[in-house]
Amino acid sequence: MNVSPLEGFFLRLLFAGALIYTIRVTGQFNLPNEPHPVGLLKILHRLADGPGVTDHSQCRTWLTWLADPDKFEIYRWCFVGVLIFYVAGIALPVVLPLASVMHILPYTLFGSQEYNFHGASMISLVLLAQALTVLYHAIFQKCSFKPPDAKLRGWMLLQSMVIVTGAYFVSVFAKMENSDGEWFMNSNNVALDMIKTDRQTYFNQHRGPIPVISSEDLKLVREIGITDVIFRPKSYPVQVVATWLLEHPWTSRILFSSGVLLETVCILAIGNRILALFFGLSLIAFHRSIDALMGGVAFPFNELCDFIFLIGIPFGLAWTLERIKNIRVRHALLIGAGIGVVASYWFHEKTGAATSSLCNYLLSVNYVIFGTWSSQDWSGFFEYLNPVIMSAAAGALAAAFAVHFWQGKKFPQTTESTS
Amino acid sequence: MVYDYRPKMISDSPTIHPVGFLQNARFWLMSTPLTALLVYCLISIYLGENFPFSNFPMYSNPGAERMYYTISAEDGIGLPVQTLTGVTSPKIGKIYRTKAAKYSKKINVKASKFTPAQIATVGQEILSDLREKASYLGRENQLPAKLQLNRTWITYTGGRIVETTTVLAKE
Repeated sequence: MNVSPLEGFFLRLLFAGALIYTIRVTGQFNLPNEPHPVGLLKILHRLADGPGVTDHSQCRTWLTWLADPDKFEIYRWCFVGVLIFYVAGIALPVVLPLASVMHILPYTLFGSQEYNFHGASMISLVLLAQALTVLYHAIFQKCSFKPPDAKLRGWMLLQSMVIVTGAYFVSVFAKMENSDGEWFMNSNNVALDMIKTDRQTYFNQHRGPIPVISSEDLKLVREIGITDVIFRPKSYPVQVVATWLLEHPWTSRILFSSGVLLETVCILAIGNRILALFFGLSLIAFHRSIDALMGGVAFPFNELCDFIFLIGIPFGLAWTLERIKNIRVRHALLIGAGIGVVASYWFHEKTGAATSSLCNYLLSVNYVIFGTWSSQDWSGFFEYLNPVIMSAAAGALAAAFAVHFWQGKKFPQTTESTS
Repeated sequence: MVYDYRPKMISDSPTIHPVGFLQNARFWLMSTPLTALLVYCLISIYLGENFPFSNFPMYSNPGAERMYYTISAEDGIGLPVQTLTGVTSPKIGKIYRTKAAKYSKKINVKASKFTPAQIATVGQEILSDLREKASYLGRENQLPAKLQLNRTWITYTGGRIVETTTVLAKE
């Protein structure tokens, strides 16, 4: 794929932002042992404990130190430091494998607690694929610690697309295998999963019985207009839709099977920007539909990957900025915007200089940008980001105008090379 | 000059004209992202749930009966498990399956053939773990004196969604 240096930069910048947002798990939980090791821990425990051991809860631990909040805080800042080099594109053959391992370790510990966790699998695998791509390029093509050339930029995007679409594709095999090939015929029962997930979401944070709703109850609701006095407001629409789907099995089969069809054919997006945009938007709609139907089950990390690598937000940003033909002005715009974001720290009322350090402030800006999509709580989004956006815009414009007028006097116009 | 995103023709690269099935297959495998996709799919299916790899088995077996787990006091009314212990409700089911699989190996009995007493043994272990996690969060006092683990089956029978709860283990 043809990826410009600017698109490559935005790809790395946005992906780094997403990675920083995702690495925040283990410090929040009590993880004193590794009872059911997975991934790297499985290998380490097998070597250390022997192959016959099934319960590893009393064995030597390898990664539990990551559950110590203080140590994890240091670890997270080290990860941020590594990602700064990644965004700059410096020393990628060293930086990417390191970042990849650093991202995998906390989730490996988290997934070794007798419950699988695949919410971060895609984003971690994309990072791993990029690391392997860079290593392959360094070994077989050209080993360079400078920002990636056109070929490597193209490879990195292409392999990221392979992983993102491949993750959906793989799930189709799991469906066929686990259901003995009867997934499509049984897919109307996914409506029961809607009820199940709704109940689980409820019992995460609430106490009390959930009333059962039947077709007769639904008729009563429609006829005499019973309100939410007897039905939990959030649960009610899920039950209504699930009941309707169970009453119409063929409609349900068509509806749920369309999602699996999308997971199957989305691999066509690999290497094609227009198809990637189409499938990226479709996958976002798919995730949001599941979230709505299941009453709060989203895969926000997967959606972030869809936005970055399929929908192509970095491409959109780069393409827009590349309309500015003068490369010095373009660079000034970017640097000015970056300085503007940092400068907003000194006059942001909520989490600015008065309440936190600069590093924590930048981290919280990152969390708001990437986390709001996850929580879907947009109430304070623009209120929080307005000072940052205004400051970045002011910085960008000031820098661009300064360079434009200064350059008019001192330099001949410089244009971009496409290499 | 604006960056040219169109695919470039590399004039000095040899032109490939695959002929025949094997050569075509070799061309598609070696010269397209299909190789990476194939390798990735095979590794993911083989390794299953081994972070960062996963075969993403969510909603992969939509049977006519679904179940979920709750913890409660003796009255059977579900408690807010994540708030109290940090463990989410779906994770209880995963923990149960993992512990049951280990116990199954230990006693050499299939998990699906467990007697109520064997199920209770697994359940007791889960309740004990949950108490420990609540203690870490400083919420052990908010848990009732006697906990029980419940499993609720959801079915669609005769036009009604029916939920049937059974107690798996009691403290």
